Amino acid sequence: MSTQAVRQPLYVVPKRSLYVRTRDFLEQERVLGYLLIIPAVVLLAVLVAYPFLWGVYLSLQDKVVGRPGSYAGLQNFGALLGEGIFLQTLKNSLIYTVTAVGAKVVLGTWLALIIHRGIRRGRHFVRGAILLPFIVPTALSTLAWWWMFESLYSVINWTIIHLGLATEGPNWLGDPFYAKISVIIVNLWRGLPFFAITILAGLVSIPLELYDAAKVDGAGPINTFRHVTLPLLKPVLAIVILFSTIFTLADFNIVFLLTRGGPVNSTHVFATLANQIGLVAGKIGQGAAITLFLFPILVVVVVLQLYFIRKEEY
Amino acid sequence: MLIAEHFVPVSDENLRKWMTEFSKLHGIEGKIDSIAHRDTYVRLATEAETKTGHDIVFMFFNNPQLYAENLIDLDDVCERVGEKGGGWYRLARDVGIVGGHWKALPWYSITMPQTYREDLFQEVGEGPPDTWEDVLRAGKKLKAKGHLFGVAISQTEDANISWFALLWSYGTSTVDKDQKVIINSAETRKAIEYVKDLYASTMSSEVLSWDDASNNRAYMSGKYAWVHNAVSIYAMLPKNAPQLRAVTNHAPSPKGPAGRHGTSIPINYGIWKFAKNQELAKEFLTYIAEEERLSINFEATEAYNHPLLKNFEKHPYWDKDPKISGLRLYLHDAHMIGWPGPPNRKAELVRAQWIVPNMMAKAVTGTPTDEAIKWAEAEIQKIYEAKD
Repeated sequence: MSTQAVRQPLYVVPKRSLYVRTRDFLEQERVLGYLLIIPAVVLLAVLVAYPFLWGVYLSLQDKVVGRPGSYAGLQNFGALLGEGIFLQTLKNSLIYTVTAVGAKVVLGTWLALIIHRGIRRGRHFVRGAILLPFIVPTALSTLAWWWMFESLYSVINWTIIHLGLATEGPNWLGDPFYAKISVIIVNLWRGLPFFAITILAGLVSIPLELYDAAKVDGAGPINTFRHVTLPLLKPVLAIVILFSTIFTLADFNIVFLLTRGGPVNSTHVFATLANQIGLVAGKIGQGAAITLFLFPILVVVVVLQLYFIRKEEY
Repeated sequence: MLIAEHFVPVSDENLRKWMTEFSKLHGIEGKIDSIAHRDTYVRLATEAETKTGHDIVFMFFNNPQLYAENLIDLDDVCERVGEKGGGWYRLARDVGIVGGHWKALPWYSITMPQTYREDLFQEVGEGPPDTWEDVLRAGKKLKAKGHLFGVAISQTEDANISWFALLWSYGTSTVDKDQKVIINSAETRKAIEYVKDLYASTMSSEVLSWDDASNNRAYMSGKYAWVHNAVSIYAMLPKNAPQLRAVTNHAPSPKGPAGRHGTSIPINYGIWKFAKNQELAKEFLTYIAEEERLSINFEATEAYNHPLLKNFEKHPYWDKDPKISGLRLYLHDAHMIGWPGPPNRKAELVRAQWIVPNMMAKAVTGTPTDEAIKWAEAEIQKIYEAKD
């Protein structure tokens, strides 16, 4: 017979129900965090990563539509560098992006400043109204612009002629110079609200005391903008320029609907040329190579921009 | 079934009516989707790659050649239609047959004549323009009176159609029948000098931005006295500009030093290999290619839908309207873009990249003729030297 006393536990842990155990598991930050981002990751994987990787695969093949292709290495990319139409497209895309984004930065900042400081009555209405170009479907708004630029019925040319400013309006879509101006105008009209609203958000977050201090120090409007507003807006500007550069370089709708890349390939951008070669003519490997051509450069731009933004924050 | 929206809507209305009749006869639910013609290329590429989509698809120009491996054989359908229709034009066989088998049914070809204001031509003492020189002479007289001539010199289908026809009529082309690049020639130089003169003396810079509907709109506005366009203008005048119908006439595509040549614009229907209803699809194609139905659309579109069957040369409709009768033999001198070379992917690339229209655009906007030709030659050579 054992004389050892049975030790009673000091505390009895009640057996937890499945519900409680599951709840506790899910409430761990590292578990819940990953769970919440899974839907976004799946969407990104299916709608972004998969098409991107498929595009990379196609660009390394000598594939035509409807037929299997064979591995061609960097042949498609090499061939593009010898193509006059592609080199012109590269030039067009850079001019289009730099000019449109530059104009959007200047005019967007100006518009944001006007809304922030210059409008007292109806400010909320104005903030909503300026978003209209950005939210109207691009295809619809571009078709309206096409009608305004169209050689036979252009309301812009009609106005110019009836105001006595000229006997003939510009050939908006038929002259290479004016065609470039036309696509830039439509891109600017459409993208300006995005810049204005984002920069406005940045302006609103600048402490008013800094402006008071600048005033006390005798700074005028230009110096105040240069030494107070602009430095504090830099991170916002960097983000909005980065996004706009990527969207503008990848633009398709505006160019396709206005000019289809003409006249004489003077407004072709990567997306429209890729459509022409890859889908219309069926050389899908080459089309994929066109769309991916700028990817390495864009990666460098994005990394540099993000590094710049982090540096400004710290 | 996928179709491209027709420039003369009655053709699509009839097609939908026939689909309804056919569906009732066979106890099925047939459906027709229509999109703009210039969007059909992307749609075809998508369906061919994903192996999903419609059973019957619209195929423009030489698309049957490009997608031959993805289409079922239609030898039984096409040979029967050809036999009943008095035989196919050579053109139909060029576009529809690949590797000895019919891959698409050429349903009709669009005729591309001259459409002109007979009244204005008569005012300046000009008759129906027969040659490109007639066009230039009449154009100069009419521009002096404020009436313009127009052919698209832009990145649009009509520009390829018109300027290839001109090159052929000057005895030149992009390649010869062995696919050797021949664009850099004295004949091309002559053709371009002519186009420069035609542009400067008869047109406005508007044509540099024209799309496929621009010549229709321009003519119907009353501003233009001559365009090189399909009979869609004439067919739509009663609705859009009835006052111009009585004074509008047609002439065959102009003759040049090397004869009269026109561009064929075949509208074909193919059936994908992945189609779930292949037999029914073949029966439907046979149904709409019956002479009776081809004839209905031929008349309803005022010869815009010109079947590629020789029996239609004798169709009584040609004699009904003298303004159309002169176009009866259009298909005799019509060719596919890329002729005399084969209508293959390389010809398609030349067409899709607007090389010939852009050569003309460069020349008329100041680039020296030789430089414009050398540019086109370099672009065409790259295409034809590349692996298929």
